[in-house]
Amino acid sequence: MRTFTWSRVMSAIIVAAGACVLVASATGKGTAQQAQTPVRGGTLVVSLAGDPGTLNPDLNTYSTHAVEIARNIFDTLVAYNSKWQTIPDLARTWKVSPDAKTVTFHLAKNVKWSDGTPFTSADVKWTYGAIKTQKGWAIDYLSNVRSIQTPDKYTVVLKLSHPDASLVSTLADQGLSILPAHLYKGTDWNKNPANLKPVGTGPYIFDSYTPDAQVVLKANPKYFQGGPYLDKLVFQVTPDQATALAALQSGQVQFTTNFAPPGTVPSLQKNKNVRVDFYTYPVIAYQAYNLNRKPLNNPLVRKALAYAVDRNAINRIAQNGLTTTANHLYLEGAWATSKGVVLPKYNPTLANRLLDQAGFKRDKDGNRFSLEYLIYTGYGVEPVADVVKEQLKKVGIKLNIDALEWGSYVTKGTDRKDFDVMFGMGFTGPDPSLIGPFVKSGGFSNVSGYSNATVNHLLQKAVATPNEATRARYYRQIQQILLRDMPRLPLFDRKVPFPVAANCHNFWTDSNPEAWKQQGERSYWKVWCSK
Amino acid sequence: MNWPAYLTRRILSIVPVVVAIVVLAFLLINLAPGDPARVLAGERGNPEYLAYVRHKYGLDHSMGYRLWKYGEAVAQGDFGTSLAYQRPVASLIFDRLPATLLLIGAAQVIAIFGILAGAIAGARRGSLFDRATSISTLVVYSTPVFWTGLMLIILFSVELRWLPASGMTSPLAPTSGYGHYVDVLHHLILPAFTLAIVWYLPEYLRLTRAGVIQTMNEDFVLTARATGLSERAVLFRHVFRNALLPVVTLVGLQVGLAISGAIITESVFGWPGLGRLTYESIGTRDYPVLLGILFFTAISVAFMSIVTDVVYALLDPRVKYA
Repeated sequence: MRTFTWSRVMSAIIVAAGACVLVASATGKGTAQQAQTPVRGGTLVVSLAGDPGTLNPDLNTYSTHAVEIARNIFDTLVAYNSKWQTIPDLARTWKVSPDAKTVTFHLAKNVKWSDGTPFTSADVKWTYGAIKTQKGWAIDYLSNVRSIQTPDKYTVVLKLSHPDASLVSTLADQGLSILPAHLYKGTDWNKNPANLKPVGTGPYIFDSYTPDAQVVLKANPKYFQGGPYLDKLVFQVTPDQATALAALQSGQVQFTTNFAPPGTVPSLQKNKNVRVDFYTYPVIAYQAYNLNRKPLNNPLVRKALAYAVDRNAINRIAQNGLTTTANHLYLEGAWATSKGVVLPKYNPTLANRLLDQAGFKRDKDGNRFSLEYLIYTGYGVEPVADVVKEQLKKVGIKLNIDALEWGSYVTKGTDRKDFDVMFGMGFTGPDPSLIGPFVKSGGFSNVSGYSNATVNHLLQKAVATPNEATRARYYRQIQQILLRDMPRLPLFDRKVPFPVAANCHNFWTDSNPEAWKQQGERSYWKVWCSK
Repeated sequence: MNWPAYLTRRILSIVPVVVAIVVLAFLLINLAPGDPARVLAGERGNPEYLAYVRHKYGLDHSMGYRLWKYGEAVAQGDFGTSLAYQRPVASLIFDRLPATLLLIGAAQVIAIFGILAGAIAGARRGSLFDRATSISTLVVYSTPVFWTGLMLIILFSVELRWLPASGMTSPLAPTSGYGHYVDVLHHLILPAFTLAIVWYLPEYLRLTRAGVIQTMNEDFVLTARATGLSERAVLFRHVFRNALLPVVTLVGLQVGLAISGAIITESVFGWPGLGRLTYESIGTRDYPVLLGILFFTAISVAFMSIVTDVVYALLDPRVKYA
């Protein structure tokens, strides 16, 4: 007979507790695994900032809203994943010739358009040809393509007039979706009914379009890379940013393409139904100087401005610490960014000395000169200008902020060059050749009027070889020159908060590998929602 | 009264008014900053491509030439093609019109309570009801419609989850039948209520109240009381009918103007009407659409003005038009 002892009781309790812990951890692990297992079915509603107008993303006119939807109906030859790496799409492999004048793509086989017609190299040839001849808005990217050859149904060969190692990367960009030749050939693509009832090869198939209200897509179970988890994808037009965020918080939508202003992030993070993803674009926010105006034509003044602006403070105060402060002339962490070429650190004392040296003494009010700072309204730009204004006050520069609506901003700044300093944000990646339009002579984004023959020459050489190490050397030299001349000052790399429904996963803004690795930017292919 | 002659004269008088409005609007829109070619071309607009876009959409001609060609086309019933949508402007406008009419109609129905409240407030001047309605209408009339709209969205959509935040229909809701109507009604409540309480209701309430107060001091009302009529009879048979005449004028003008759509309300609530179309067309510099909407608005205001004058004459036999 066992005798009762307290030690036996304690032992029993310890063993029981241990068993509970084991059971709980096993259950917890199981629960965690269950939470990670995609759930099939359901409808995802995405709020769209405006009516697309057309569902053909390659036409003559740019529709940002059509582009939001396009990735889900159409594919491109190659795609960007959410880390902006070039990944296979309709082209599974490719090869760039050593002289960077020929690119050969091998296409996926057994891909079908949503109407059942097989996809072939003829579709690629027709699409790129149409963009060139009918002036699709991506025409600039194909201007160097001399000929498009299709030796067989699954091979496309692009012959270039000049070497361009960056071409493959740029073919993933907007406006280059592959269209069905059998529906467009011989027609006026502006008036083709397929623009409003698109037929694509993408993970979703067009279902309906109610103008100014919604676009409904349904899953393509025969998608060549595997069907999506969701049954339906709905883009609901909600132009007002605040209303879109309210619709997300109320559960009416699960994702909004109107990203959240940085100031709203803390309150959104407190909402248990919402998760905030942070997505990095290869976009540099900068302030460009008008080199045709005094005193900005003086390199000492531009250098002084670089010391006078505290970029960390801009990130901290104007962007709630949510962006990445720019410390180099190119994107932080990119392969082409030269770590040894570093932007000046904040030093108002040195800035004052440089301005004195440049001959701009303070008047009795403490001002040296005033500058007009052109910005556009919305998109969280105004706080940046306010912070810069306060910083420049300390070095005796009076900044007058000229805040205009986007269209007026472009007319005044880009077209008329009627500004002293102009805030801007532009895609400078993922391929570093995209910095070209901002700094080469006559570049369409070169609002500064900067012109340096050596930079022009180096930009050409940097795309003439596919060897990354060689290209990086050329970009380092470019950055060294830009640091010396400072036609523009990078401020931060754009990281955007996207609030999403907490019960949905694998958005293209998600950092989970299944979300970003294969899935293209703005694609909802891998998204699933738990009930 | 010679109605046919009067109406013919009035309708013919619309023509020069509309022409003047369209010419003025054309000039103002084209003089406004912002290049539609730049908007259409997006970020990538290099000079060659921009020149192509300008030529394609006729934007490289002089303003005078474009105005002349526009006038020629409108005279033949062609309002041009939308730059952004690549569709006929007339078709775009008539697609969006039903949504706007529904919103405005619902808001006007709600605003009728403003007329009733104004009548009661005027008849009971100085009462608690009168003071409460005066203060509350002043407060809501003073607040921007977008703020009121957003506050109502936060309360009813985000916090209470009673009503949807935006749109006219729910995704995947029935597109016809009873289910569809219920869905639309559900979406209509917040925008119609917002538009009514911020704009129409306070105006109707204040005007009705002022009309009632003024009419109650007229000699014929004193006479009616002196003849022994009850206060109720005096109010309903004499006071209200006369006090409502200015309100009829206001309602007519409001309806005419409202055809262009409640731009801010429709934008805040994502309501797919003419107001939203106007807002988007401004952003995209879609000149043909903006001109078409302005033309349509001018016609509707002028037309409603005639209707209002006719109704006024029918209500008040003292009114005769030459």
